Amino acid sequence: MTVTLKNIKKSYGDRIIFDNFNREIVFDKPVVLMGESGVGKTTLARMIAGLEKSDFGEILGVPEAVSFMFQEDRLLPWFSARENVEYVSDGKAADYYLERVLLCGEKDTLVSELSGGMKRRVALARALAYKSELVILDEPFKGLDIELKKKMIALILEEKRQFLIITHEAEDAVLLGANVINIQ
Amino acid sequence: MGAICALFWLGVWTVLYFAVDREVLIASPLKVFMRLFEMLGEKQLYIKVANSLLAILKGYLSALAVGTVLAVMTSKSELLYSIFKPFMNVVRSTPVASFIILALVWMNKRSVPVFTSFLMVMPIVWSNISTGINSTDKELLEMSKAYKVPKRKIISKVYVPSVMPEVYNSVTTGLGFAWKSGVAAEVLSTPLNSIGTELYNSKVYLETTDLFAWTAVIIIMSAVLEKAAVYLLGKLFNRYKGGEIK
Repeated sequence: MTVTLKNIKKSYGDRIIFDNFNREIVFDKPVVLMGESGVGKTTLARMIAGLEKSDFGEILGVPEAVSFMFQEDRLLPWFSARENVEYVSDGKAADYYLERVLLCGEKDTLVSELSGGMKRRVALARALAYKSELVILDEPFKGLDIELKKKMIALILEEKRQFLIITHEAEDAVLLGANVINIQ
Repeated sequence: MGAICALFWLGVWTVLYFAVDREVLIASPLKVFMRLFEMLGEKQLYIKVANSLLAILKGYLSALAVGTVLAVMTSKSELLYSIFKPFMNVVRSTPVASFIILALVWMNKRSVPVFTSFLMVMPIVWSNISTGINSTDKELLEMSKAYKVPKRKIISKVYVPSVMPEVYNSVTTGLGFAWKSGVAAEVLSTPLNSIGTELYNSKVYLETTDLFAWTAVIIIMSAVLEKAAVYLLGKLFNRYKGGEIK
């Protein structure tokens, strides 16, 4: 799968984020987007997912179904972990992925009662449980210790889907064996 | 603690009664309680309470329904919001007596309390539910959009739970308003067999003991209604797990 970004222009008020940005993203393995804070990694991912429109240019090759794990957890606080994942999938997928992110025992716990790292994993389970060809993860390992991070990376690598991952850690790209795109 | 407070205010009442020493101005606490117990044995009391309750509940429930529908509509359309907002503001700032007198000109006596409670509660419901809808977390809505969640599911699992605290406020606050304004409407419109009419008669015939006893009935009913509403909402909240009744 290849996603092509052609002549992308994007600005917020006077602040230009992308000016005539061109790039082909080849998904033969996970792709990691890196760059300094505020450089436009999240904006680029959001444009690819169709959550934001570019001011000019076009994005080609994006599949119909895209999962998007936001930088914030964005979980429904009045629901349990299972109900949150089920919100975008079904009970079977919810159970499977909650088990995979090692939250089997917390399935029925309200997400408002979970720790930051647990919430992050529920959000990851939700992104994976949604039937999609491309999974975009914005800082998915935030708040996870190294052991948990390695387990989550192993889970991602087992999935037969394309991944676009935003991270600040070069180590994540190494562990994922990913193609790295550095945004300047 | 509650009993101590009650005894304190009963003491104040008794002291005032003896200080003023005019039955027409302040009734004797003992006589009021005896009259209240006497009334409790009379069938008429229950008929009058039921009539008033029915009329006020009609207005109150209609206000809940209309206020909710209007809140959904006005939160969808800025034009509708601009049209309805001044109307709601006018209704909220107009004295209840003006509406009661207008209603007396427009409709029959029986409908005046229904109309008055409706008009007093509807803007509160509209305003609370509108606030709830507009303050629904935009990030959750964007997440739902990203995962292409069907609209019905977004309504039941995001909007409804977000709005529930405002519904709770509307139901409890509105009930008190409906009850007080409804009885006030009855006092001015004097429909047959109603609490308000009894209050009016007590005033006309200077039966202060009756006036106090009927006021006690109104206060007791108000407390009972509020407790019932809180209990029912509590049940609804428990059942409302995840925004849908299970």
